[in-house]
Amino acid sequence: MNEQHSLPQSDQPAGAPREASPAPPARRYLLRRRAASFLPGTDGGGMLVAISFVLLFLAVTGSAMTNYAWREAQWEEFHASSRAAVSAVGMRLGGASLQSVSDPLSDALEALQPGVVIDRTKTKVTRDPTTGDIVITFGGTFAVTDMWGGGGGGAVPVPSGNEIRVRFESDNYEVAIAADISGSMGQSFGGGGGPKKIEGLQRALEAVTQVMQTVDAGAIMVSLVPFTSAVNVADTATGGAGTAVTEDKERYVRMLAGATSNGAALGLNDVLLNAKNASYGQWVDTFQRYGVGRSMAPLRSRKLPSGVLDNTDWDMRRTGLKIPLRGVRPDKPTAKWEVDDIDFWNGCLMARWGAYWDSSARPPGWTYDDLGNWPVMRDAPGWTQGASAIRGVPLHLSDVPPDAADPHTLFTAYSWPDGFVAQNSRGIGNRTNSADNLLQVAMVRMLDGNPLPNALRSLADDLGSPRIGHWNWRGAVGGNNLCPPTPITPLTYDIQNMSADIAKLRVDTGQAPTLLVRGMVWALRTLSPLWQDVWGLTDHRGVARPGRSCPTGVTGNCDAKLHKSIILVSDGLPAFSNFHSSRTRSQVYGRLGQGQGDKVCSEVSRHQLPNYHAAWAETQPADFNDHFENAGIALTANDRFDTSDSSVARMLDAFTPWVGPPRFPADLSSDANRKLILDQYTPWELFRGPPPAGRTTVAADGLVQHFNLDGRPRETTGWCRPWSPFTPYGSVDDHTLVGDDGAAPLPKQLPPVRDAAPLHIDPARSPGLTAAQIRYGEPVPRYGGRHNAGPARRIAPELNTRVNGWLVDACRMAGQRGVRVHVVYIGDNFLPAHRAAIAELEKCADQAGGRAGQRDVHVTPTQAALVRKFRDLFVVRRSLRFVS
Amino acid sequence: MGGRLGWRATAGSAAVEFVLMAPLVLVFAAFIWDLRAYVSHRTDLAREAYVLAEVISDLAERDDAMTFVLERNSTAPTLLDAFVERLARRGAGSLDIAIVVRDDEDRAGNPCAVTPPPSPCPPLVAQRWPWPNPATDPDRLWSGPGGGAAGGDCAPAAWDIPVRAAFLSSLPDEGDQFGSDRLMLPNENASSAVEDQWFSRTIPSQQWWVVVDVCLHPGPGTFTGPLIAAGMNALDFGSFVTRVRAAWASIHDFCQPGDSPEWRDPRNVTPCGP
Repeated sequence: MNEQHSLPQSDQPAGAPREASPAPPARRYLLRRRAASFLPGTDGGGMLVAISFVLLFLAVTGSAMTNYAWREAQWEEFHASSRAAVSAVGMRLGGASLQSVSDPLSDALEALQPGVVIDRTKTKVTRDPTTGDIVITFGGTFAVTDMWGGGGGGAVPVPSGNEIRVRFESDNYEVAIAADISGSMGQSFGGGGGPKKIEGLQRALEAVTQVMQTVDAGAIMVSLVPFTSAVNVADTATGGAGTAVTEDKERYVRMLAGATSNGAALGLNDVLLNAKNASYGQWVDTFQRYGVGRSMAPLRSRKLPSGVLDNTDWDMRRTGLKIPLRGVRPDKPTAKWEVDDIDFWNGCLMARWGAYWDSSARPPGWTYDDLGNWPVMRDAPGWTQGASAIRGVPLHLSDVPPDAADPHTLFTAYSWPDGFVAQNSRGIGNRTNSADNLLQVAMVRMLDGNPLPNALRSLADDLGSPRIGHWNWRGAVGGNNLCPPTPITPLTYDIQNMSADIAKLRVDTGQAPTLLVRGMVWALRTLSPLWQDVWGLTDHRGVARPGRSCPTGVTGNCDAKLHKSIILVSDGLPAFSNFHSSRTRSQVYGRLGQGQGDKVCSEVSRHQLPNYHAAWAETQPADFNDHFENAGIALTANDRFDTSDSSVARMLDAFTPWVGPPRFPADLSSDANRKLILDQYTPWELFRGPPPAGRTTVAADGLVQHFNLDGRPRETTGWCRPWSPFTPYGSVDDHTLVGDDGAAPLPKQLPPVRDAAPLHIDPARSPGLTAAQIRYGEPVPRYGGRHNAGPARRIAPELNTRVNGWLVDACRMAGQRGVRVHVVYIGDNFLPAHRAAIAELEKCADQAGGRAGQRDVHVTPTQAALVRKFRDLFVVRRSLRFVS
Repeated sequence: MGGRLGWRATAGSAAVEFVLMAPLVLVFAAFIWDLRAYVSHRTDLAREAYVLAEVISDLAERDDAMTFVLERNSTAPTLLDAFVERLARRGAGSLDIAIVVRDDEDRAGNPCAVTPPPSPCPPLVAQRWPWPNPATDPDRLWSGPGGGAAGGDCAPAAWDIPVRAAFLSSLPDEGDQFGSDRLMLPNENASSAVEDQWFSRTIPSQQWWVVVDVCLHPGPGTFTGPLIAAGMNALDFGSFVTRVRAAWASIHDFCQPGDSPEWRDPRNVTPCGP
């Protein structure tokens, strides 16, 4: 105790731990004693017990918590394995039968996670009807181990609420399908009796709609661009009861008048108002001369006629519409012409500048030689901010949108009826004859030819065609010739709408050739965000389409998950080599070699049929009749045909080609009957009318009835007025100076072509050809075709080079826009013509991102191959996303 | 006196308590903390390895000639670097990442039937990214806090330890099939002893897998790791080797529907869609 008192006094407060100071040796004993007294002491023992409890508590709770964490870590592994198992089954969850993947899911989880025993009856795969998510729940047990080994709680049931939600996502695609619907698409695959190519194409497109059903709504938007040498932009008669589809009408208006800069579409009233504005309203024009037949130039009436865009025009395709014939039938000023739906504007447009071949339509001050101011070269803006503009491209190859402030970019209606051939009141398909053609040819024959020129004989042969009786003759002259019967379907995600349009696909039975560049350019326009205002489309989310995808190297202000592509599908026998010039009136068909049309026109030209045309120029019956007398046709004193004269043979022969059924009634095979008819009429009465007074019901009209005819002839030059297939969409006088740009150059394909249509043949470049040979043309060959001889052989290379060059340029432009181009060739590749066509298409694919030297054209010789290829092309990469 | 003695006793007990018990508590707390690190690492590893596999399967695209490439500007390399850094901080070991596809030949060189799926065919390592790079570190192990024989029981020589027997072996070399004695998925031989029925032998041809194989020796923990490492070295206490194999299937379609035999056509692979 004394030792305790001898301890040095400390300044430390009571209870404070005492610092260990250098202790004298005796201090060791002090501590030992204190420890010996503390531990048995009440306070010390309590403290010890307390600390022990604390440590024990820490040990127990720590261990328990650590063990809990350990077990939780195993559940974390289980969850990760569960998600991995779902990824393993992944794409099969996108199939129709969700429950069928239950077992593979269980297998995957058991393979991934030790300790799992799956109860397959409790593993569920369902679809959330609200969100569309796929919900997976596993049933079974999971053997969770303790940290210190052992089974711990053993196999623990998998919580039933432990669900995994996934959904499928895919990038967005805008796909334009440029579909060749030229006449050859109506043939069977391989030329046999199997399905037609157009039917195969329809099956392939149906496969596309099936793919669209498997992806998220709006993930794939498709536009369909049927083309021949042109495209049809507006369905003018599908709105039910013959009423035009409103959106199609407005689309048409926007192309005529331009889309406003603020994105709002012009309304019809705006266009009519603007029509009065000389600055550009004059260009909102259309060819309004119903049945004039001699004014085929579409811009002859450049002022917008009053009411041109009202519903009368838009409803014209209704069967049964009656059009006044004022100016068409002077003899029947109050008559109305009942037309059907192929007689009027079918929805095709042409670039307005395409009519610059008409000097009256040219911009003031512009001449052909003024290439520096060539009005149709433009810089095509980039699709997104930061994307390079494509500089110096011709409008007809570009996606520069119609802009009211830049009239050259606008369009005008194309293919208004140009030549009234005949109206057969008996309707389509009735193989009766038309007064127009029959009498026309008879008149030619009497005045200028005996025997009938071969070309006219061919014309006569065609008179039995079901197409006779329509405003358009053979579908090959004017009117809606070259206007595809099926309009464009702009981008749509509406599968039902798409299916309906696929079903409406028709082959153009006219003589429109295949001009691939038209399909390419318009396909690009359906994908171009520059045309948003024209199409006026939104997707299922209300976002304006076409969207702004990201070109290579651009990341901002664009949708990186939006991809665009064009599928150019054609049987590709490149009728584009069949084009010809020009501005000469005899070259109206734009197609040589196959049909008779150009020959017909050349042979009914003023040059070759002087008497015929001279007679037409007369306005008085006596003067008209004199031409017949001058041609050796005997007339009586009252100018009727003198059937007693020897010249009656010529008169009768004039009708000979049509003797016999089904073209004419059988009684016309009798000369006596023919005489009986002829000797009742004067030439004027027969060919021009009106019938003499007092005989209105029995004279000319009676003749017409007798012949089963229902009209009077019109001057045949109505068929042969100058226009060319390049008027639609503006190629006339395109000087083909393609691309002249430093940043993104397009190749110069050919030197400028001046004072001529784009395919005008320059004699200097085709030595040995006379002007007449060029103008009136010999057949221009297909690739290796049967017409590959004579002067045509010298013409064809130049034509082919030019037109093919346009296609390549259009493909390159698509590539520069970041649009992928797939080319599908329908047919085999065994013939030289096919191989040559494929070679041209290959160039297109190469320019649009294909691989040079590799075969990028998909050849589909059968329907099955075509459908399979479309299925393959439309397989969309989907991604499985976990929703949590 | 009693009071004085009591004061002294209290004062003494407090000092003794502090001097003697605090270190015990601290050590115990550190041990618990360290254990927590070890335990949480298991959670982290499960998450991160799977996430890494998922990210790679999301971002990898197949190029020509069966080569998988990570998309430019992808997050996968960054994620991988961070993952490796954490692993290296926690222990020694190995990391192996492989992209596995369905081979088109069986072990005898005969073409595998593609349809009807699933028909058995061995998986093939199309591409492999071992870490560390075997070119610079032939034993493919990195040294960590555990030190010792680099990687310890993660070294190939130690693969016979029971804990990793389930894996049988490491991943095959690039271009090699998973042999009949090699699992692609960690537990796939548990459900069936017949190899042809293993899940990895019946994967579809349009699918690829990312397999992440991690081995850590010792496990993480500032004190626990070395302590366990020392214990392991002395006692072959192999159960503290941390081994995770995370596998994740591709979450993208290839471009071909079903099991099209054209699936190897690289033109139809990247990018997919029309």
